Amino acid sequence: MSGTTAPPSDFAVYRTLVRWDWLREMKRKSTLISMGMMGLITLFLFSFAIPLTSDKADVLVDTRAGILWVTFLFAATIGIDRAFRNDAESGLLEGLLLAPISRPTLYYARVTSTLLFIVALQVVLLVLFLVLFNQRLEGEGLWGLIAATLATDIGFVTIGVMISAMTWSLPGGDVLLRILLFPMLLPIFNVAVEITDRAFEGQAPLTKHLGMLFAIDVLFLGAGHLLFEHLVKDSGGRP
Amino acid sequence: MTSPALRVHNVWKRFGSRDALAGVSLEAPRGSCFAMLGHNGSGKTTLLRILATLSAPTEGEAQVLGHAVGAESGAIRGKIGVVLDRHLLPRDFALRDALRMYADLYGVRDANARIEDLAARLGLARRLRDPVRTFSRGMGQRASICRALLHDPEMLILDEPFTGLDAAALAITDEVIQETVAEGRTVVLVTHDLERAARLATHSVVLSNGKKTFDGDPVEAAAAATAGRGLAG
Repeated sequence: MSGTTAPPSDFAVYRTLVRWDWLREMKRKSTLISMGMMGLITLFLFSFAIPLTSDKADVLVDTRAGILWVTFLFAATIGIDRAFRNDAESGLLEGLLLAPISRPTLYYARVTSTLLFIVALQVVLLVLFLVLFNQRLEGEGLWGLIAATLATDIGFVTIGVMISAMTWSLPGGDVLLRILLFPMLLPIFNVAVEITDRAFEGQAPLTKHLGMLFAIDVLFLGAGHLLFEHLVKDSGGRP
Repeated sequence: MTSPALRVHNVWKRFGSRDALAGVSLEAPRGSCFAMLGHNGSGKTTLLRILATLSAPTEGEAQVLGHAVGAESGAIRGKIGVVLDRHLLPRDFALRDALRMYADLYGVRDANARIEDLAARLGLARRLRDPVRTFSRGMGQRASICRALLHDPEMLILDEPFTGLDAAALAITDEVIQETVAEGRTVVLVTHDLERAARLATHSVVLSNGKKTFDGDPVEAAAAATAGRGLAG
């Protein structure tokens, strides 16, 4: 390396990647708009399917946590699918793979930026959900839901970004992503729905639920850290 | 003793049952302009992608600037600048911002001055504020060379850099290659342009069907091509 450069630390590269990912999305907004539209449509469909009449109130109480997480899942999957696809199609991914960036750093940066997009979207969708379905979240329930959502998102995004790196270059990769991702998310979403149910009752999450989410996050993050380099080793090419 | 710029030993690359590279071995000295010639599908871009660390050989060993592809790919990436058929820049950014992103990733000191210098050298100074998506093929190619030179690499790897360029852009590209070699750096050039390869290159190989069919003087390589020894078009 010549005197023109001073190799940045992995953390500096990580910050740079996240910052530029965010700036790019703010310019383009295509991922956020697509995720937002999917979330809106899903919420509206549920709001038509489950009328808010007093004689059907039980149905909503039984299903509200599931409705919220299905909405989050459908919307967020679009962001996950685009974690690499947009960059690969424009050639930018090859540019990043050519740069002296450690593969785990690229993976963590992409997980973080995808997570930021998804959390920003979830805030909007949650507010809309509460208004559309006339629900309230307060006190311990609200904080419990925030903690559980973040823990669920971390697991969801870490495994999702890894599968996205596997599928972006394959024909029908967007469909394959969902086929591979959804079954892997079953345990994490079960727990998320249980915690959300308790949150709507105003109760804090159980320690065992948070512990389970934490364990799954660690497992998925470890898998991503170890496997990501192998997934992109020969995938600098085009779709 | 200084290691050669490139050392490729018995490299194979298989895609399913097809051998894109079948036991290629070659060496290129430092400070040379090394041309890889061959017809479409001959394996030259596959080899270039291995040297650029974008792909891994199925068998064999490749070294770039003394570092092994695979085990030491990280060290190689900091020392090479690569120009592919696409510019690899974020399309929605102005050229200055797109280059700034790469400058940050490579840790380029005094990045703004470096970007302005390179843009002026490549005739892009007046387009620094324009979004990359508005660039023509030739402009994109020059922007790509700008990106590849940002971190002052020891080796410049160019895949078909002359395709689709007008006379002015061709002259600039020639100049960049000649200056890079004059500075003692290495240029690896994959091209169909035999006349340019003969003029610019100091060493060359011809690949055909994944095998090396000629290794030697670039002018002889061009002659070998016209005589049909493994190079068409």
